[in-house]
Amino acid sequence: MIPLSYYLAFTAILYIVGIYCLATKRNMIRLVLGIEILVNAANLNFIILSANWKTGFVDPFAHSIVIISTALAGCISAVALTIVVYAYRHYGTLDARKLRRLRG
Amino acid sequence: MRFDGIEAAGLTVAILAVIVSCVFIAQNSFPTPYSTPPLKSTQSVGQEVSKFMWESRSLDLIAQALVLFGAAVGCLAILRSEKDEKKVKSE
Amino acid sequence: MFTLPIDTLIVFTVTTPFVGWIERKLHRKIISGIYAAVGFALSGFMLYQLSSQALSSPMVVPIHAGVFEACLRVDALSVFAAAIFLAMGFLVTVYSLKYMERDTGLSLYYTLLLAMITGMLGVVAAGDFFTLFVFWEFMCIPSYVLVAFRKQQWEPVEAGFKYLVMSSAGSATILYGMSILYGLTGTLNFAQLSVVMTSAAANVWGYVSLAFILIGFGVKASMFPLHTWLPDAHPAAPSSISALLSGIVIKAGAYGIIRTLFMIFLPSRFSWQIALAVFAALTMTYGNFAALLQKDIKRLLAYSSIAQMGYILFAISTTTSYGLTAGLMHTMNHALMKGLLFLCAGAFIYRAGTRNLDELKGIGHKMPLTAVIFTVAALSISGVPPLNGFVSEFMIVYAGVNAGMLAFTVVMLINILLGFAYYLRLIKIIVWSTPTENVKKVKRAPTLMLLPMALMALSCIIIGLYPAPFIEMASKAAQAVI
Repeated sequence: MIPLSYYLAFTAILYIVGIYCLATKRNMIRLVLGIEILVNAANLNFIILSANWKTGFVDPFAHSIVIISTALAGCISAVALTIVVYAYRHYGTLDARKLRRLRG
Repeated sequence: MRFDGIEAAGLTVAILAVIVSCVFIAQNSFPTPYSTPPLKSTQSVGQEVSKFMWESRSLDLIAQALVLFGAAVGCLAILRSEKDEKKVKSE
Repeated sequence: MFTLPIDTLIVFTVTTPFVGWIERKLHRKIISGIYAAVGFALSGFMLYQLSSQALSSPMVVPIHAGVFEACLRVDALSVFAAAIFLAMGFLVTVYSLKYMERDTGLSLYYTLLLAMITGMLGVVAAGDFFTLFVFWEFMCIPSYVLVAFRKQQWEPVEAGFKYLVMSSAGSATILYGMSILYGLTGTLNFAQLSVVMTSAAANVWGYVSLAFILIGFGVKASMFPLHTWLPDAHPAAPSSISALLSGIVIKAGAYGIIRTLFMIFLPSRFSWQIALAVFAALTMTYGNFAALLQKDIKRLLAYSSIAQMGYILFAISTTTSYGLTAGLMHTMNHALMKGLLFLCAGAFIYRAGTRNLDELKGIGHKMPLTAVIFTVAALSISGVPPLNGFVSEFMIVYAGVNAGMLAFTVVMLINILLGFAYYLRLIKIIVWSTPTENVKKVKRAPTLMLLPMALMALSCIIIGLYPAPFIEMASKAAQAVI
């Protein structure tokens, strides 16, 4: 059996990949994908830890959480992609840094 | 390919973060939960989950349906028709 | 289903698009707005009915909820926060009736407004961390769209997208921290979590989970390194929405921090006080210094919101009951004052059509009533004695001294002076300057917009003069979590 630490390291790396994607990518659609990666890292973490009780027992609680949170992530990306579509129609670009006129 | 400062810095930080987190996880083993398991699993996980979800997480499911509704209204609001948009003064 | 106030709001949320359809048939643009205002008023009445029961002992819905069941747990803090949210929602809806009349898609606007407030009521009432998260998304998604609601210009669309990306990353971070918390304890029920975390030994993974959850809520509460979405999103939104975002949506982040820090990561077992105080000091200092340099009235107010969140976080970091009471008082007062300032700014923009402070010079001569209300709000937020801002800022300083955090208290005092400086500058520009060409033809603000503003200014003065009942409410709310 593979130890738990390997799985935890995997989700941590997935989380870092998501943050890296949000911080560096120019394409707006990739930013949306970055959010999806972050949510999936959290979801995988739930699934991994649901089998951590004792051998042979898997907690249905974590699984139902993951089912609901997948739908929530879908809602976020739907709204995000709608904004992306609108921005593309009006500015003709998907490059987030060209849009970056705000000083923030 | 052009050299991109943000990309390079991000990659360096990301690799460092991966190393740090791997070392952290290797050093600190994750404990088992403090509580005792809630229920005995007799069925397969799939059946257990659907039963559990309808019995115990029904409020969450209703709220999730509301989120779907909110997202749908949001998409409609962004893509609403723009016939008389010229009238709105800039703010 | 849920508690009665939330159910009422849900019914109104779901039916408002149909009312919008009727509205289009009848060619009256105001019906859906009135419908939404009725919804808020009705929900507020329901909350009043429920409050006496919830104030005496926490109310759990469904009553016999198990440890693994999704449930709501309404206690004094929930009622306190929900009352602020509903009051602000009602006032802003009345204001929007006139302010948003030039826009299209109004029934969708009010649906989203109702949905956002419903989500916030759910967030404060949730008794289970995951239920809180679902309602958190229900609050966030409408707020992204509302920021980008005036999509004809580039600024709202871009600011909305930036807000969406940063805030969703924050939500995902909360979820990640929650998963580690679940792995540690095997439950996400708040009451159960506080029991388990008291008995279990403090583990380094507990700190990891704490860090993730704090960062996630910190994005929404605009803690210093994570604030960058706020100065873009708040000015870009319509002024009525800015008032809600600055007044209460960032307070939901503060609520999340209070709930998790005091009920899960108990201050006696996890030492987060100093770290939170350092972040609070950075937040307030950054916010005030950035606000000093702004030329755009709404941007200035947005930076000032960051500074005020710093005060609230500092009040939380004292971890005393009195400090938390002070923080909750300031939450309420800031919702009123900053909401009022944004609504006044909206009135100026509605008439003058510009956000630039140079072009707004002397607009107070043309809009005297709005200028008086604006002055009250600005003096109140900078902590001038007879007004409500003074009460809560004094309480925070006193709590800081009592908790022995002298250095941070001195930082806060300096910050209050800085805040006073730029609000004086703002009053000078609006009221005491000679009117520019741009504002010569400006008329007074519409009565429908003045009505909620006058009501809020009045309550600023009343809370300043008779703070005792409000402090008692806040202290009851603070007792509920400590």
